[in-house]
Amino acid sequence: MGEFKTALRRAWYRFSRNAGSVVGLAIVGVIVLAALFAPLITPFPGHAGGALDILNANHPPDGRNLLGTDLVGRDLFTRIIYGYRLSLFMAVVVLALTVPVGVAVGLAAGYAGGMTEAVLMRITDVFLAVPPLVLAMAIMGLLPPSLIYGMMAVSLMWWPWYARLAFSIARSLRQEGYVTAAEVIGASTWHVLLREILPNAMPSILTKMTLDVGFVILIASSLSFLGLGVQPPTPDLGSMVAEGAGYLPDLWWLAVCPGVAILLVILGTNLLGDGIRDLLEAER
Amino acid sequence: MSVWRFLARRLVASLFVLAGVSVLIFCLARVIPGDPARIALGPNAEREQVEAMRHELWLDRPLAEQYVRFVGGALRGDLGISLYNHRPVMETIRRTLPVTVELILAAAVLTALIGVPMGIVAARWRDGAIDNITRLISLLGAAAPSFVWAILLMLGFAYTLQIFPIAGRLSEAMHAPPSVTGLLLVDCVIAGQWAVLGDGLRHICLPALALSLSGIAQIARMTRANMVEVYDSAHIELARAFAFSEASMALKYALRPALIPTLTLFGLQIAALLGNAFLVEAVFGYPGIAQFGVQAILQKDLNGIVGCVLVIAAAFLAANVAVDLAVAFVDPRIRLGARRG
Amino acid sequence: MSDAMLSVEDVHLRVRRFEGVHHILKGVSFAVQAGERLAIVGESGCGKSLTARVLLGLLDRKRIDISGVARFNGTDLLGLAPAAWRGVRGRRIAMIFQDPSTALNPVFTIGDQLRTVIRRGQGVTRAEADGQALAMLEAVAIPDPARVLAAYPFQLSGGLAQRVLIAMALVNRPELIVADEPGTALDVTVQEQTLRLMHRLTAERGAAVILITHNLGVVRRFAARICVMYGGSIVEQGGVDDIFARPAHPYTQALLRAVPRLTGAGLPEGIDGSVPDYLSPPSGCRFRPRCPRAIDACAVDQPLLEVGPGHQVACGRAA
Repeated sequence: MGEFKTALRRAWYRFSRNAGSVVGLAIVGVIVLAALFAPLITPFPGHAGGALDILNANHPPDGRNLLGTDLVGRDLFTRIIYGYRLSLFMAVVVLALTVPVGVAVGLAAGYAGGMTEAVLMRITDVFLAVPPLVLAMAIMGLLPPSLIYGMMAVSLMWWPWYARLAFSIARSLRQEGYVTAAEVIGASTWHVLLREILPNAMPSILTKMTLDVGFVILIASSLSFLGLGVQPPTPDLGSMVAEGAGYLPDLWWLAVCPGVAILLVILGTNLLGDGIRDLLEAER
Repeated sequence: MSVWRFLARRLVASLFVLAGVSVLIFCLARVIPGDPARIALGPNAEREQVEAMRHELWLDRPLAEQYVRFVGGALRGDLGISLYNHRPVMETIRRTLPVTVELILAAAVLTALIGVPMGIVAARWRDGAIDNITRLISLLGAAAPSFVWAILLMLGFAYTLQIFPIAGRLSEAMHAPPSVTGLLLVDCVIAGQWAVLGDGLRHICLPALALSLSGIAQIARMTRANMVEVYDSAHIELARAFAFSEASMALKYALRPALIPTLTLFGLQIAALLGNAFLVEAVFGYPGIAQFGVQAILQKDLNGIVGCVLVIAAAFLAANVAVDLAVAFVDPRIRLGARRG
Repeated sequence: MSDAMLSVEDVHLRVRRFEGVHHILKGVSFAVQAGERLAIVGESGCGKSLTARVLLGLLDRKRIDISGVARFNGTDLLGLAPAAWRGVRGRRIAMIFQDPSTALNPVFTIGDQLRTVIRRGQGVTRAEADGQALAMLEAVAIPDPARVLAAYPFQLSGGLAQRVLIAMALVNRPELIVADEPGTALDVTVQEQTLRLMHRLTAERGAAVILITHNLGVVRRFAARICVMYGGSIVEQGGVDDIFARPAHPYTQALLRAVPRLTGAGLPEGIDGSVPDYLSPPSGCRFRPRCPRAIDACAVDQPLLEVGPGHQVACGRAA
């Protein structure tokens, strides 16, 4: 226990030496907490849905509505917090779906080599040959617009990146002494993959996952900006920007506030991801 | 000689991948629930109309036959009729693709011309003020999707400061010169229409900048990291020990090895540019392939979607072959076959 | 000592890390006469490579604190302004790097790199530099030098590339050559050839050599004088024959016992303990924790004391 505490303290010392990492952690922490407790902390939780308050429509930011109100009088601050809730939910679901699949494919290809590698990695190449956003848009275009299909589309374009990452690690580790040693003493393929190779691939995978939370949010908001994915009145940051874009420059807050909200969450996860990467690299 | 073999190998590999993409997108378009003909015609169409359309689109044939017919058509440059604007998909693509290509080229040039020098300067004066400013720009650039930057730039430079036009590719008073290359700016130069060229340049600035910001951020970061790593390498220590000048180290002996991973990243950036072009074109009302693509997607236009994806994948693969060639040019180990390409 | 070509006096080197200050070089002093061959010997991590880098000003003075004097023909290298280094590096003091596979720039030809060395050192025209490069490669016994000039480093064998590094160091006829474990990355026979070549060429040109190595066999054949370094200090120095015949410092003795021999009985012996900790080093002699003969007097700093003609040792037992 004491040892663990020391390790934790040293990790925090290294992490906190970079001010950016701490800022990132703070941003992500605040956003995650706000999203989790959205019904408790937002001033107008009812505005998350299709409520109307026409009398208060198009208010610029002021004391009552921190970030102003939209075309039908809903509080923008409330809707942005609920938008975070949705974005983070999507990011978590997409990563939970894609990371295991991608890592499994990559490890299998990298460790088995030969025909398995050739087939799996060529399939991966095909997915990677279409610019990710375009592939997701095309898949979205073929599916009805909804949250579930949106997450499916993003997931379909996401797994190959993890397959690539896990593949390159597994391939380089295949030759390592301890892996060969495990094989020589007769460890099963599963043992070698899960106990010898996977733990060594984890730091890179974890780092990529942290950075990808922001990136999933970026892609998902890009899709909903184009009208693909979540449909109104569900508050979604991308569609809020799209809606507000038509009212520039007079109702500037409609587009700028959710836009900056997207910027903030991605900035936070990028800073945090960099910090975690530096930490994991220093530990090795 | 080996450069040509290298190129040939990459081209063949790309064609295989493109074939794979065609299978992928074709299958996706067919196995997904919902009847495209029904969606295209709307809920009120008669059953006979829908059947007729299914027949016309060969949707009533086996999947394999549909694919063979599709590939046969595609090889002849026929991607079918758009269910959205009822014109050949190829014709629309031929008209709109150059617009997007021009925008992406402009963004790629900005990415390289701003990102690489930023990285060099940041690495040379590591941990100094310039490095910190570069780091901040990189962080912000990569932190927002291009449509957010598009809107912020539009609000700041077009609406508020009124330095640049708000939207479009040319002012209404301007007339595009006859199309030679399809790239407006190049056509202007060919035709010697400098006023139109100036107007076109003013229109492309904000979209290209919005499109390139995240690329600039990532290229600058990557270049800086590589330069820092190379500066710590034994061969730069040797260069110092033999009194090579700072300038020749920064711009030659450290830069060239550092550029190799940056170029590879640049290849990936092209994918982002192609995808983000859709968003930026939507914000700035830029008449590229995105307008058609987004409409095709929203209207469930099967042929349009498949055509757009294929063309974009082909463009991406071509760009990557070009990047591979550039890497081979910079790195003799690849050019002369010490490593597999 | 003031007549020496190079005299290093009481050089200390400290690096600040987040755990604290590492005091890596502790009062290093030695001298090199013109044309002399001095070997600096010690295990890895003893500070010998850092000493070489101090002499060429290759360390980042912003992160690394260096004090002391390193007088080279009257000028103090440690006080040299960046611009003034140009007249020294590669021109009056040149370095032979250890590993040719990393020391040559992978994406430029040998010709480009060698030519730049010549032009920076002598300010000659491109054509003149080309001629010198070709002649120099011939001098280091490279067959088909024209082909090597056009080649990239990865196209050369390790032995050839190491010769290129020697050519770079010699081509501007420097007075002092610092050779940092040349050829240790190569196999033994190639290393031997390389060292012989370096020996012959520096002798012909009358250049002084500081040979940095951990290999005592190499020292015996290619140096006249030895400095034995341990834990960032020179613990013993003297003529090669004196040191091999009458090693005075326990560390030198242990080092000699660790050398494998073809004749004689017994296996080489290891040295107990581990390399010193620079963050909180022991007071006085840094070999003290590993020394079988340590006494209380060793806990204070030991000066180098004469134990024979030109043979000095820093040891509490010698006082």
